[in-house]
Amino acid sequence: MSNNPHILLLEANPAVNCDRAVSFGAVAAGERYAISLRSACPEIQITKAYGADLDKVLPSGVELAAYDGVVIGGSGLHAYHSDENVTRQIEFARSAFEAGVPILGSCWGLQISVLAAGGVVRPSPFGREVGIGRKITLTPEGSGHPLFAGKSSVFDSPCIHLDEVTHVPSGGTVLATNRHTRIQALSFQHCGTDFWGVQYHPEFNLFHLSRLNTMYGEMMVEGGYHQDLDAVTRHSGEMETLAADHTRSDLAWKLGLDQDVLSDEIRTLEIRNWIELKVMARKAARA
Amino acid sequence: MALNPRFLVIDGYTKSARDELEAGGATSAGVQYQNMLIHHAPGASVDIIYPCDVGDDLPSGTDLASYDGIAWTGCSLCVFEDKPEVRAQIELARAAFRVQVPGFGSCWAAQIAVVAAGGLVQANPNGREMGFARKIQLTPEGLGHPMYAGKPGVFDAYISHVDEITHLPAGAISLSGNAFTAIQSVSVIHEGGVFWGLQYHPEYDLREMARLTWCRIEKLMELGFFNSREAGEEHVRLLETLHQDPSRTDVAWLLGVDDDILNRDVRQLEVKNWIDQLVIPTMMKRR
Repeated sequence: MSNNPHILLLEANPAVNCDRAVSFGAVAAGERYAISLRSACPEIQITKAYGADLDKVLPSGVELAAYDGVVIGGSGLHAYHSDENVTRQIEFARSAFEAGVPILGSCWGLQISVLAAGGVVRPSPFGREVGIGRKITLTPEGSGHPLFAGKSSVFDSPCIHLDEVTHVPSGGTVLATNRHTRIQALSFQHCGTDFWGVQYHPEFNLFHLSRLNTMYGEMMVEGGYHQDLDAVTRHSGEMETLAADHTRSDLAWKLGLDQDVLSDEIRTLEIRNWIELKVMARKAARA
Repeated sequence: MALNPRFLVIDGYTKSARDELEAGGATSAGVQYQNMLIHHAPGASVDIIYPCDVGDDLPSGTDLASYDGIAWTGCSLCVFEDKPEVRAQIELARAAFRVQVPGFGSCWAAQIAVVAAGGLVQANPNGREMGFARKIQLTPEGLGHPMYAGKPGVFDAYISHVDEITHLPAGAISLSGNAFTAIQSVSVIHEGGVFWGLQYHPEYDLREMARLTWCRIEKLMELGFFNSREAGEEHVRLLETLHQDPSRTDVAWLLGVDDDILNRDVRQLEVKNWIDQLVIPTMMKRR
């Protein structure tokens, strides 16, 4: 057994969607998470599992218990659908709770963990929240929670979601909120296992957001976020220019972006805190 | 007994600064304030004075005491510059405290009230905060303050300033702040007079911000907000487009602005609360 912390990372999109992201110059959602995990903790060892591909086996039981942490990121699927590529991922989350492995979830990862533990997820009455989740505010509980140690009490973060947690599993604590989405961050214990999760995407950087904006261009026009495809291209271009050159303070100002989004360190602090406080603790306890 | 308050609006701009803004299509600050007060107190009467024009011939004592509320606009002067027109306004602010007529104001106004009461204002080390002040968060004192009754705990607001309140006088409390400017609003009690001041500008709307930006394009280019005149003009167009057509949700999304900027009732709640919770009750007591 290596001395390095070992994470199981669930890629929650089907292979065809992962390939599509790559064809738009992005990386698959799982890979985007892997990059952020490695940058938060260079010695971390990551094994990927594939939640939405029915031909790929998902670990459970003893096999799953060998990991120090489980990370579940975003997906274009809907957690309340009864398709097998959804239900087997909820089953996987349940196995992780039963195996006692601490779980970190973003977006879909939050939603399926909530369903696995008895909560409820529904489409947001306000529609899609996309681009930057603005004015996310820590609750009093969030201000004192280790997931947010060192984070400012109000921040923006990348986000893209249509669904949201509406009912918290028993014993859960809402840690952050904003006007669009009441539950932006949540912690709870299920089967004695700790879950920490966020509705937004600390693992996305500006370049990734720009590629998603282009990939979802038509949807963004239909949703009223852009007037036409030219506007999509312009917006992606501005984000990419800023991503490549953080000294372009004119673009940061124009896009309304502060260090909470632009600085990898501030944006991914939740991921770093989870690794340091939950993954390392489990690793130490198992050693 | 009439419940229609008499307001005095003090427009702190010099004549030349007002002329420059009006030539660029902006409404003078005093008139913006007048419009805002009458919107929230439709029967009110409003006198506007321009202290920079009249020099020492300012209302004092009984003249000031005949008003039910004194509202101060922003101003392009700098409160820590030792100039006659600055000194005269500090003295006027002291006189307003002494007659104990409720005071309110934006930007320069908050700074001058703080200085008149013995606090300090200095250049903000972060430079100019322009356009939208992001993620202003109420302090615990702000959350319980009558000026913010009904206001969300975190909001954005129109802004344009380079100086900031750095040291509060005795009897003043900070009601809000953000990452750029530690003190975004204050309550100052001095010599029995009460003044509520905002560093931001509830009196602006998208059109006024567009015109102000247009008047300042050269300066904003020098400061790095725009990398070309075209970029500045494009930004002005965006603001004006959304002003003319509030259904352009794409522009609101691009600018990253919500109801706290776009909806007058949310944006100007501090003014309405000042009238309802301070001006009218004080008026009832005095008459």
